[in-house]
Amino acid sequence: MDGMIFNVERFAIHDGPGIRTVVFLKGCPLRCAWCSNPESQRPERELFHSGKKCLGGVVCGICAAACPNGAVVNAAGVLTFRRELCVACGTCAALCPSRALEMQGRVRSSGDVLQELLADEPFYRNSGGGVTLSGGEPLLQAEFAAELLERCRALHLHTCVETAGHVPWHKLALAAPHVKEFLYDVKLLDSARHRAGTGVGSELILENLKRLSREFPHIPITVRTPVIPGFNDSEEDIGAIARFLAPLESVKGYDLLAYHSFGAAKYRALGRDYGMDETVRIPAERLSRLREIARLEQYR
Amino acid sequence: MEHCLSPHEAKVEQGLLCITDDGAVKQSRVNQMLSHILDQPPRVAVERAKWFTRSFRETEGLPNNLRWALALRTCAENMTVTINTGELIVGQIGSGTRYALIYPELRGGWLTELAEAADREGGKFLLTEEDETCVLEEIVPYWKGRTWHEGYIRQLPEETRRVLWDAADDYACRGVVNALTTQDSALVWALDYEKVLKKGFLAMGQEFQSALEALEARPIPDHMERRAFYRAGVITCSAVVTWAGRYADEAGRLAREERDSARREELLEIARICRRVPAHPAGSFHEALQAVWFANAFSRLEQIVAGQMGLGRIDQYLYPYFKADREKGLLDDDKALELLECLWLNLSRIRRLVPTGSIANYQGYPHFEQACLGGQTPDGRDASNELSYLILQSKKEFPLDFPDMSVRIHSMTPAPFLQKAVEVIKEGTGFPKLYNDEDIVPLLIAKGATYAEALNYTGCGCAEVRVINRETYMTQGSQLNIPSAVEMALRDGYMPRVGGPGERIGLPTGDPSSFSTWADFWSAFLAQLRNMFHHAFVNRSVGDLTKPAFLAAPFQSMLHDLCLEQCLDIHMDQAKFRGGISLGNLFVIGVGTTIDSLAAVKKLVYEDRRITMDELLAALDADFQGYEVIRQLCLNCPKYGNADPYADEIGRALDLEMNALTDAYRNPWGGTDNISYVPVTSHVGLGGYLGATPDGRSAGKSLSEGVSATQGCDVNGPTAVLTSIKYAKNIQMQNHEARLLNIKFTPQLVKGEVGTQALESFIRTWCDMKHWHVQFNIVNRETLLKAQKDPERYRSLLVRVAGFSAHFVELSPALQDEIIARTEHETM
Repeated sequence: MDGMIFNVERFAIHDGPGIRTVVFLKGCPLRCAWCSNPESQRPERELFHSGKKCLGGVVCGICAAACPNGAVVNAAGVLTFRRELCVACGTCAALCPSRALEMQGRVRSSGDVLQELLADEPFYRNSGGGVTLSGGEPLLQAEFAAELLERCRALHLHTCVETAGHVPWHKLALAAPHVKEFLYDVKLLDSARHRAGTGVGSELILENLKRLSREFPHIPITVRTPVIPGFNDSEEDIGAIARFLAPLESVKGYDLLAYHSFGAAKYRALGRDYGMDETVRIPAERLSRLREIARLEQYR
Repeated sequence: MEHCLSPHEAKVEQGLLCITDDGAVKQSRVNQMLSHILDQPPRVAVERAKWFTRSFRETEGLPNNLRWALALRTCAENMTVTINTGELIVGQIGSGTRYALIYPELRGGWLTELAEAADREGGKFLLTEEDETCVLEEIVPYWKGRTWHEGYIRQLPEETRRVLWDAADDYACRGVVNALTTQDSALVWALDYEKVLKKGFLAMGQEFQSALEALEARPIPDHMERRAFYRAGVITCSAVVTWAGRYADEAGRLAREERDSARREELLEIARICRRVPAHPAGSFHEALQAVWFANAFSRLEQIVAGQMGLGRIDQYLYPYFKADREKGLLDDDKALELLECLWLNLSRIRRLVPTGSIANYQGYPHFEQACLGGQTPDGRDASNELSYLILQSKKEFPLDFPDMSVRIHSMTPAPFLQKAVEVIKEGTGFPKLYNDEDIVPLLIAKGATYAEALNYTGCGCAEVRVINRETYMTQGSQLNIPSAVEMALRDGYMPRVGGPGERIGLPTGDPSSFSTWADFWSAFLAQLRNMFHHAFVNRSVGDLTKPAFLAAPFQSMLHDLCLEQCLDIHMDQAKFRGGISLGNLFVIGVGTTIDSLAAVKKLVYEDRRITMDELLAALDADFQGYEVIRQLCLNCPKYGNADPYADEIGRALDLEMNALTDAYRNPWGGTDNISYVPVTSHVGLGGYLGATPDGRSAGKSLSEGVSATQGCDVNGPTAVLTSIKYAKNIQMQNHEARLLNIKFTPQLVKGEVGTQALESFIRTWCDMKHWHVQFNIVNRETLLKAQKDPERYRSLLVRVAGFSAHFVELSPALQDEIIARTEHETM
């Protein structure tokens, strides 16, 4: 079966145990303003244009000459992208000499992806690592994800799924039997504010988490919260999540991840605006304090 | 993500050099001595050359080993004896806080350029007026016409002479095949220190004396050729004992003058120890260290080996003394560390002045007296012991670039030992580098070592290994500028930056525009490559054939089992050795650059047909100026080091070809040769001889390093690097050895427990994959940039360059830039 993949990262050591390869699946039901992988959000292929790498219309302009739809205009050496005309056919990206233009998203078969994953099998074996499916929301492509995970398990590869949990239960249930560990994002309990920040309410996410814990009690879950300035960085919000998690027995860990703006440049490359302040950071002391709160609440 | 300094960087930021684990500044003697040493630039030390010359003037006509022994005796009796303030391990072979010896028997003619060379960028030396006069008026005139290099040049076939050496300068290579052959007496080496420690030179000398008497008393006087060997042995043993005795005298004299009672006691103890070792077997850890240093330093009076004389398996031969002293309650960790660090300081005093016009190949005063730790015992058990841990600890506390330090990893390396090594690696000094028994031991067996000998190998030099009592092959090879074969295939044998107008350096392989397929181009490349190897082999054979007339090494020979058994000097009678094995090598430089260049030609010109050969050539001619589109196409072709089969297949074919060429060659003694992926810093120097290359590299820029990917090109992370290198290596062949791999990490990546674990399992996998070597450079870009701007403040900042650590600020700006350009495997 084929899936829509936008990236494969090797030597990942913060996405589950050991040394892992992370497969990023494209498409996400959430639209978090702070998302560091904006190219992960839409399910279809998209054109990425990095201004920094682009040689421009004077020296190069190959894209403008090649585009069958007139979506790139070379006006006296100035390149303009008319994204409304772009059908993401990939003609320009294939010819771009500097890879300033790249297609985000590639249809790949599970066998093809598996081949790439197996290259690092000796590293997984020695580190207790394996494969992590991430996104986007990998469970939007639940059939593909389940097949890839099942094939990984058949080869004794350890499997993790990073999910935001906002998918119909049957999708989660389809993949779960082939997952050794879940990394599950919970951003906020309060549904209205959750919707304001991510575009969707929190109900389905929280319900799925409880049900996952109940119906697949043997699968350990690590819950993670990206701590976003002005959204969920209060002691109350983090404390509330920790209290919610306390009774869920298969939740083995709760991690807080500090907000970062590494993704900002990608918004520009997609011709979109970054909705966050690039310079803002969560101070280290604040993060330590929140971690302390989380620890106290969870085990109260 | 927060800015993260490696512990070593943090120390440098604080301006401190020696800090213990709990953060205390070590106020030891060692710390004070260290800052004195770093305060002054190194000096050219002429004493050894002077006494050798004087002795040689008197010994014309004698066999070389005897001449060498007599010259060593002259040195031992006459050289200045210096004991520095605070020193515990004594024995200095030159004057100044740091000093470089000169060896006129090798390239004496070059010494007329000494004053100029002492002042060159990337390695400055002080040369006093008196010393310069001695060199020009006494040393150079004697050696004129008597040096190995001159003999070698005279015997070099004309065409090889032309391709290798500048027409007007016998001491400057042309950057295509850089002959190292006469630059050092031998390739990297380590002594058999166990013999020194267990037997002592008095007993060895007596054995030579008895053998000599027995030989001379034979009624039928056969085997008279052995007489010189025995006599040289007698003289050399007594010389080293004499030399140590003069240190005992000096320590005694200083003790009488010393007002500080603690130091007086130390000096008396030094005097006692110097009377005991290396004449007698060592009886304590301190005596053992002193004996090791005397032997090591004395061997440097005898000859210069590449990288300078190694320390071998130091945690093995020193351990019995360490253990016994500990059990007797005579030695604690602090005392042992202090003694070891006194030895490290002695190593750091000695520098290398390379006798060539091509200094770019050896920057930052490189030398690699490697201390090799861990690994396996000759009977196959894990060899790590408490001393191995302590020596690693000393490297952690004491951020000095000497000794070079390696750890042998094998499948049963205990987790705590690996963890200790990783802890030190994370300091960011580049130490220890790692060797892999799982690759090396089988290969050594295939080359003729017994299983036990192979298990007892030691790391040596950059990424090389030695089987010290079994190897007898000594001649240095050359550095082959492999990407120049691509350039010559593109230019019908010409090189834009080498040779005058109309001078073809390589073979006429035809106008590349007339090639219709990739196979045509590949054939032209192979023809140029084979031609380079041809000249490299000719160079090596001429070196082998001329050397016995010019060199000998009685001291090294008497510490070598095969030399002793057969009464042969290790240099003099190579052809007669029975049972020796050869790990002689040719250094192949810029392999990553070559693979990437070939991949670009294949893809852009012959497969995708994005550009024509003429367009590519025009772009290369213009150094890509005005051809930015083509340069970008070149840069974005498949690159070696990313687990991309497109590039890795080319790498594998290239590796196979080079293995096959060395496999076919026989040196004059019937031994084979090996390719070795060790550049030192020659990848920077050799890059200067090349125009722009099809991988997108600009003219004159550095080549790729060792077996590593081209700098900045390994974008798929370190696991892909290992996958690529494994794929490109022909493990079924046995004519290869040292494969140097440099992987640079930012401190973030290996931060904390997660980082430690990741690094440990990365190393375990590297071991499973049967890679030869790896070293980690954990430092961040900002720090390197800061160091470039403010060298004073960062003078102790260590950086790994091709198998050794240097002080970053002592390197040239070009090499600094190259280090900064290397990909940082930063995951977010």
